[in-house]
Amino acid sequence: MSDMSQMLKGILEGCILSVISKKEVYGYELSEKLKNEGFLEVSEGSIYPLLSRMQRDGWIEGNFKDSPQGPKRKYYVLTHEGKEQLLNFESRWIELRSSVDSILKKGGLI
Amino acid sequence: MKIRELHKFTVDRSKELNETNHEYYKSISSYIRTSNVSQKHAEEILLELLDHLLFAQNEGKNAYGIFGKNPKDYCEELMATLPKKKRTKWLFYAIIYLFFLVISFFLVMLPGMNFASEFLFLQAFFYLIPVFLTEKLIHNMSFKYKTKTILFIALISASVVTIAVYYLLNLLKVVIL
Repeated sequence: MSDMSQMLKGILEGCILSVISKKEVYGYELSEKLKNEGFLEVSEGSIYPLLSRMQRDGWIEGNFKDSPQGPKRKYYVLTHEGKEQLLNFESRWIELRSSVDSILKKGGLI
Repeated sequence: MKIRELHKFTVDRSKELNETNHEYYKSISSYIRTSNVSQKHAEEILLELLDHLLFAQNEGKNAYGIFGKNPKDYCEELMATLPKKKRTKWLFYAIIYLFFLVISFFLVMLPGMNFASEFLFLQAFFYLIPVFLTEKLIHNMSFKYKTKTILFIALISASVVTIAVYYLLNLLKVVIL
């Protein structure tokens, strides 16, 4: 996997952590929220390997709860470690964004 | 939640999928279930994926759009994050071996069989081969053929091979002694 796609995955993970931090969500709900904010190129299914990895690393916890249709639905919440990772991500993103913005301002075409 | 319950939920609810989605979902279920991923995690994630697919289907989306054009790649990505099975099913294979040992014992009684008991133990092993191989076969062919088709072919070929080996051993014994 290329470094660019790794970086995009990292950004996506940070965004996922952020959405989960506001309110516990299940998979479909999460992908809808991401879509609403403009992550259109990301296929909906790509969140599941990320959610799975984050659970394995202890950043989020998934709990099955009853849903209206009957079969249990998995809801995700942040763990303590997850909150730390989110804070890390937020500060790294702020730095990255300002660097990129500054470079674009000096040389970009827009 | 119990593995069996989870499995039952997925089987029941997957009936609500349309043809394209159902085929896609069946192939990924088959692939993941026959892999070395822990059963509990496999069933849990399959339930989640089904839940998502059903929502998406309601909005006119299809599985290829959600999980990608290559279901195998999607599965590999998913499986890389899931814990593996803790133990191989040695107890399961041991029971099957004993079962075939008993069958072999009765086969010895058939007319024309010159088998003495020393071959029985060896012979029962040959029945295990198709058991080992069938799961592998289903796994590798998840995206090409339906599981029922594979099982049928596996059963027929396994029966033919084991009967052939049985008679061959029988023949060898007669020739050697």
